[in-house]
Amino acid sequence: MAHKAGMAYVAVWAWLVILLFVSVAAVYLPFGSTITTALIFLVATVKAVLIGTYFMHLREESRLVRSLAIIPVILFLIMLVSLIPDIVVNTGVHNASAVSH
Amino acid sequence: MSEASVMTEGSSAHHAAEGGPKSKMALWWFLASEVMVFGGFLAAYILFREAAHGAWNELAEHLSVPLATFNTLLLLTSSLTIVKALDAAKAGRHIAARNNLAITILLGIGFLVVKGIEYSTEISHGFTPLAGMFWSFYYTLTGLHGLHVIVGIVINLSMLVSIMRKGERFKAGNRVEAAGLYWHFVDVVWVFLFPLLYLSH
Repeated sequence: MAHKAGMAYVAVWAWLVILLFVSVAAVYLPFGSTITTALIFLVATVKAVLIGTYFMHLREESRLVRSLAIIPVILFLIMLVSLIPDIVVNTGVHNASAVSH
Repeated sequence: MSEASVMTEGSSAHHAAEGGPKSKMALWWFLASEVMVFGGFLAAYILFREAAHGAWNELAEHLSVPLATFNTLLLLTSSLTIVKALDAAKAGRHIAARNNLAITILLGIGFLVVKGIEYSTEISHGFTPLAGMFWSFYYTLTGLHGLHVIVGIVINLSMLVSIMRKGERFKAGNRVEAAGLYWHFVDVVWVFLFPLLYLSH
């Protein structure tokens, strides 16, 4: 049984490596920058989910532990989005030169 | 597969009697707070980069994608070896646990060496932490992550010493599991730092 689990871990690792090369290759493919950016962050998210689900055993954890893993990420995204007006919009319009290098 | 999960549930119930989940819960709470620590730095970086309207793209091109790809490979592989170490320790195979842990530590050290090569190349080209906002963020983000790698290596080393001392008497307690969770978290952070710093153009 331990052997079976070991094989599953190697399969997860193989997927992680394939996804890594997909994201590097995406940069050199002639997509638009929006598609490339979306693709590389989609790949990063899938990799993080794979590591969390299989290596950190979230698949077998209780709902409480899963919440502990997911809620901070949601809070981070709320923080990120709610700061867009403050930093991106205002700095971009009034003081672009300050952040240009 | 379902058979395997029944086994795992059984063993976690066993751990509950020893107070296992308590330390695991504490570790998950700690990781939750770590998300916000990195989150603050990452949010600032992402938003200022957006505010610069693409002006940082050409600066990011000075970073070495091949070296960072290699480093990502090292960390992903180290996540595999530490989970195998945990598995082996649980099954009482202390030699396999020791070997996998030793490889994990070497991969971590390899990561730091490559990062050091990157830093010295960048600094020799004049891209110091004071060379501008992008570089300042680059050194802060990778430096904070690097510190976490160092802490992870120290934790893994202390466990390796304990396995080597106790041999067959080594008990795969909650320490191995907690160390694994921390190490995977450091890997996950890098999974996002890699595209944010190296691949976004």
